[in-house]
Amino acid sequence: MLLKNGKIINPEKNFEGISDIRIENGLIKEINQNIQPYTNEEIIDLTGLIITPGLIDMHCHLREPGYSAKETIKTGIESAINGGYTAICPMANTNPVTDNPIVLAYVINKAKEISDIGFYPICAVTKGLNGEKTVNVSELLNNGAIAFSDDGKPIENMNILREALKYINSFGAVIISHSEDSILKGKGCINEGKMSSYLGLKGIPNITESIAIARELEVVRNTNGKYHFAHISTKRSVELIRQAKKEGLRITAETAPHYFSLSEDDIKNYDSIYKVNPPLRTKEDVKAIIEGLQDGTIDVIATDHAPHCEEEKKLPIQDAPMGIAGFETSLGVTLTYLVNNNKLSLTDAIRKYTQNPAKILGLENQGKIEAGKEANLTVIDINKNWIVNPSEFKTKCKLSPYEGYELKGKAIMTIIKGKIYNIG
Amino acid sequence: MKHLTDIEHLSKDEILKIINTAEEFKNGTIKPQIEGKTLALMFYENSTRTRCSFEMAGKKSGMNVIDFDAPNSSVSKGESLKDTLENLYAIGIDIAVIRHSYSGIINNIINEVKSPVKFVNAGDGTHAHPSQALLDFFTILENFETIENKKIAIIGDISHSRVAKSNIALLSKFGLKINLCSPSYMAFENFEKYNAVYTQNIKDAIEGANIIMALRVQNERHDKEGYPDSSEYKRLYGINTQLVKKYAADDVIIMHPGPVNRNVELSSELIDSDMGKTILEQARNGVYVRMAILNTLLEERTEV
Repeated sequence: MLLKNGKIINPEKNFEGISDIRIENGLIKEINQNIQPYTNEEIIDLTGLIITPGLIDMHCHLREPGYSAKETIKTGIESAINGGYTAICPMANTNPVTDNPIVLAYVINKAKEISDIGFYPICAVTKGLNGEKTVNVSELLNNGAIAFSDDGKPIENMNILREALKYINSFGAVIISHSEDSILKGKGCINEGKMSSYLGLKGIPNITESIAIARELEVVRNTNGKYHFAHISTKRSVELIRQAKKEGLRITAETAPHYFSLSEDDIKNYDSIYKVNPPLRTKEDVKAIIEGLQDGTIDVIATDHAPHCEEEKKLPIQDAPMGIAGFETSLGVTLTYLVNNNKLSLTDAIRKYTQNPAKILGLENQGKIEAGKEANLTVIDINKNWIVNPSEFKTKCKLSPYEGYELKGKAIMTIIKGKIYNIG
Repeated sequence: MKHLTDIEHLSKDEILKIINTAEEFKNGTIKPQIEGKTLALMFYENSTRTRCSFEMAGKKSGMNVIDFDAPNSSVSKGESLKDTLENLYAIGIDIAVIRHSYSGIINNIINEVKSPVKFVNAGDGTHAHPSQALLDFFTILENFETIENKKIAIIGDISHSRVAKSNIALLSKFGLKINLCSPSYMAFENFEKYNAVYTQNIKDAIEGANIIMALRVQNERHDKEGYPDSSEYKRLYGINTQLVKKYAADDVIIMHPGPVNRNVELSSELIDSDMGKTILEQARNGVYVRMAILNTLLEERTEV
């Protein structure tokens, strides 16, 4: 199979240019200009389109086992592919928790039945996400775990975090932190500030996040650990991470599209569609997140895809669960708010979807366009205008704060091990 | 006015129409036109004054009043407020007066309920209490020939007070000068939006005030521990006769949405003084203002 005339953007090699790609047996065979097709070779003309390494989502929730009314591994994978992803890393807060080889094998086998998508589960740091006892790290790594996180819950006992970090790092694996001070968070519902005061809703102060980051940075410094901060949402968090990186700490960070495209000002009608953890912050925080993406403080854009049932999201905002379904809007939001808005170059944006997560997690066959590697690619139409219509989503969660938004730029083809999914 | 959810959604004209209608009810110059309509009182949170006031307003308007027993209703069986409302409409209610501990619960479902039932927010969480603000405004207008250049000091637990927030929204629309006063942990973030002034010093707040509105400390809504106890609050923010006489304007009236904790936010002596008689006027006026609200909402429906 020959992909012709596409513009390749390969951040890893700092390459940008028109080139053809030959795919054979699921692998990239050749990358060159004007490759002559074999007789009867399937030719796909990608004139005017962009080919990038397949997108990686290093932070999502597929809900299975345990919460298959919200999402299943099947609908989650279909949704991810529909968003342009060739690799995903589901979090461990399933029920039972993905903290043992049995659940891990269950999710991996389930994913294999559905597609060849790169499926790299993140296992819990502590058994049952209880923050008490570290999981059997070696056993889980041998069975396919890619990283460790208690995401959904913070680890607030610094003794346990410190020991777990040293141990997990000793195998070369990273901890992904859900940084949060649960007492400061309390029963908060949206960001604490003018909007929460105006609406009369309990607020989540921004230091709920940054105070935990500050504390965890001391643990990382003390252990010389390798550590990744998930879903960064505040200005102060960006500042802390920027400073710590300058000082040489081995840390990386991620944010989600809603933290650079929406703010608390967008919350309407007490609609829990906007309820997410961390909460949508202020315009000033949005600006700081974008600056963090620009200067490299924030390495990765992940979705934190967190689907819920419509009945749950229709509950009063005080009772509704937190989370936004993100696979199918992520790239469009990034291209619209960052790339087509001239805040970030396309190469830098794609780097945060490909090269950087692949490097943090050590993914061999993702984030690359290289002869001999798996043909995991995403084809993007950077100029495509489209309107977000959640009823067309593949995820079970047909709700989105972006409903009705006009976005510019979309993945139109997801290529997984040479298999093409047209998602125009 | 389709519903009464909060003050922000009312124009000055709509507010004045309610006030004028209430005045005519009070003077007996007009009669209610909504006889036989049905009102449901849906109080998911405790209330004495507001509940009785709406019941009286409904009965004086010739309405049937259904007292919905929220704690023992199907709500406790997991039915959503939206479904409860649809069912009550099917049963035959025209208007639902709702009190709830959740801010915004009515705003949230208003577009979801298909039935043409009317809503009145009788207090939602720490968000809004529009009928209270309207009756307070009515009472202020009754007590002063003009409200031009009048100054109100609102003192106490503003951040947790839906009464204060609705009053700030309403009185700022009519250009009153608003001084807000509270300890730091009860402050309202958005005072600038309403051209209000915030101070922690009670003397500054009531200096030259024509109206002093005291608020109850909403202990039940303080989920964060660690505030000083009420003796500290009383020492700094308790209002007594001497303080009022020394700093406030000569024509000052004392208001309180109730229930009052005597000798905490207001001294007993002040409540029982001539200046404090407005507090009972508020309760009395509440009935007429709520009659006006019910009549305005239901009259409009027949016009459509």
